[in-house]
Amino acid sequence: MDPDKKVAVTDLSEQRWMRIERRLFERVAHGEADLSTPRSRVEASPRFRMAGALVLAGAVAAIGGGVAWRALTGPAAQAVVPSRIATESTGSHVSVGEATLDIAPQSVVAVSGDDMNGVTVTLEHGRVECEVPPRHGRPPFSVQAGAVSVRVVGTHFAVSREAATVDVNVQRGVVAVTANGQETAVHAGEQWPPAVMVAESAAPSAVPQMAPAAPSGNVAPMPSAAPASSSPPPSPRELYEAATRLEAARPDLAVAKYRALATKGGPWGTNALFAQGRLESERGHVGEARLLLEDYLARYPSGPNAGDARQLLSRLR
Amino acid sequence: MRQCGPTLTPVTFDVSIPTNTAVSSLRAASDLDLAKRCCAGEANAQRDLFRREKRRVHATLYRVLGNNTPEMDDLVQEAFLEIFRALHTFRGEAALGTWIDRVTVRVAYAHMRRPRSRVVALAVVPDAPSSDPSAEDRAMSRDALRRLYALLDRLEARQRIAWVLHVLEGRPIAEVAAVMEASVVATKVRLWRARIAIDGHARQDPALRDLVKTPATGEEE
Repeated sequence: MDPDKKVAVTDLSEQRWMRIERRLFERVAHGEADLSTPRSRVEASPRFRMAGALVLAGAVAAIGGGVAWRALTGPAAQAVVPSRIATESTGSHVSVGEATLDIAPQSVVAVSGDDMNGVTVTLEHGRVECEVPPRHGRPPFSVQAGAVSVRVVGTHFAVSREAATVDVNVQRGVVAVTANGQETAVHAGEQWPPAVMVAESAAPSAVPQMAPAAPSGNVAPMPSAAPASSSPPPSPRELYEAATRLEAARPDLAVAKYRALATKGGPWGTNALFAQGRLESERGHVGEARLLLEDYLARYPSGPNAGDARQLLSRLR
Repeated sequence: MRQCGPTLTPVTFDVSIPTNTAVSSLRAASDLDLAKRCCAGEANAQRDLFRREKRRVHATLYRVLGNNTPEMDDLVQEAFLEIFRALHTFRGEAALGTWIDRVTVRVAYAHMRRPRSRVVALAVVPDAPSSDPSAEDRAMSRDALRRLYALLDRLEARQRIAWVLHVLEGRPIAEVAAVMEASVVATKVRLWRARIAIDGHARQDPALRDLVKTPATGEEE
C-alpha cells in the first residue's frame, strides 16, 4: 500500500510555514545553529544512549530496570497534561484542536476545555493571536483577558493584555467582546476598544472599570510610556520584543519602535528594519514597505531576512 | 527547425540521457555543495535547504507523532537547527535526504522521551459535508488512525519509530536501521516487539488491518 494513503500528512498552512521559517532564521541569526552552541540531548543518538545504558546496566538492571520500564511504558500514556504556557524570549505556537494559538514572547496563557465542551483561553499577560475555524454549532471558543471576554464564531484575531489594559484586534470574521456586562461585535479590520475608548482608558480613573481587581495605583503604564529613569535602559532585544508585542494592537507604535531600533544598527537593528518593512506591508502601506525592504536589501544583501525581504518585495510589486 | 516535405533528411538529435548513476552523482555533488555553503554560513543556502527539505522533515515528524502536534512548529525548527549544527559531519556518503531523516528522527525521539508538556491536545475532527459519499469512509479512516496512534502511544519510542518508518512509510529495514543509527538485528527486534503489541489489536479491528499490514519490501523479518 502506498504509505501516503496509509497516513496522509496534513500540511501546515502557508502562513504557518512562513512563521516557522521566520522564527527559525531569527534563531539562526542569534547563533543558535552555531557549532559552539551547547549540544542538546537531541544529538545524542539512540545508539550512544544505548551504550551508556549498558555501562550502568550491571548495577541497576535488577531493580532499576523494572521501575524504569514501568515509568516509560505505563503511566506516560496517561501523563497529566498541563495547559498553562509561559513563553520567554521566543514565543510559541500551539494548536488546540482545530484552533491554533500564536503566543507572543513574554506571555502567559492557560487553556482549558475541549472541542466538544468549548475551549477557554485565559490570557494572563502578553499577547495571543488565535486562528479559529468555524465552530459549526459546537460550544464556543473564547478568550478571557481579565474582565474582558472574547467569544469566537470562527475567525482570526489577536488579544493583547498589559496589566488591566486589553486590546482585541480582528483580522477576519467577527468576535463578540464582553466587558462590564456589555457585549460589542468587533468585525474584521476593527479593534477593541475603539481609539476614543483607548484614550479615555489611559486616564487612571477609567481603568478600574476594565478590571476592578487591579487597583488604579498598580496599573501598569501604557506600552508607550517611557521607562522610569531609575531602571536600566532596555536592551535592543527587549526593545525589539516590545515592538513585536505591540504589532497587533498599536502598529503605529510598533513601527516607531522598529524605526528607532533600526537607526541604531547592530543585529537587532537589522531585524528591526526588516520587521518594520514587513509590518508596513501587512498594514497595506505598500510604498513605505517597498522603500524599507529595498533599504534592507541594499544594506544587508545577505542579512538573515534577505530571502524574506525579496519574497515580500516580489509580492508587493 | 526541422522541415517536413517530400525529401526528408534524417535529423539526429544529440541528446544524452543521464544514467541513474550519473544522476545520483550529480545529486550527491549538489547536496555536498549545498551542505558546504550552509556550513560556511551562507544565509541563502540555509534558506534553500530549509525550503527544499521542510516538507520531508514535517512528514517524518507527522507520521512518527501522528498529527500536527502543538509543538510541531518548534520541532520543525529544532530539526533544522540540529541539521545546521551537524551539517559539517555530512560527507555525501548517503543522500542528504536520508541524512536529514536521521537527524529528524533523533529530534522526534528526544521529543517523545521528554516529559509531556503540551497543552490539551483535542481531537481534530474536520467537518465533512454529509452529502459527500466518501465522508463516512474518511471519518472511519480517521478513527482508525486515531486508534492506531493510541496503540503506538503505548510503545517504547524506538519501537514506535521503527514501526512507523517501516510499516507506515514503507522503508526497507536496512534503511530504517540506517536512519535510526541502529543495527539491522536491533531494528528487527524492535519491529517484532512493536508488531506483537499492535497485531493483537489489529486482528480484532478490521479497520486497522490494512494500516498495519507490512509493506512488501522483499525482506525477511
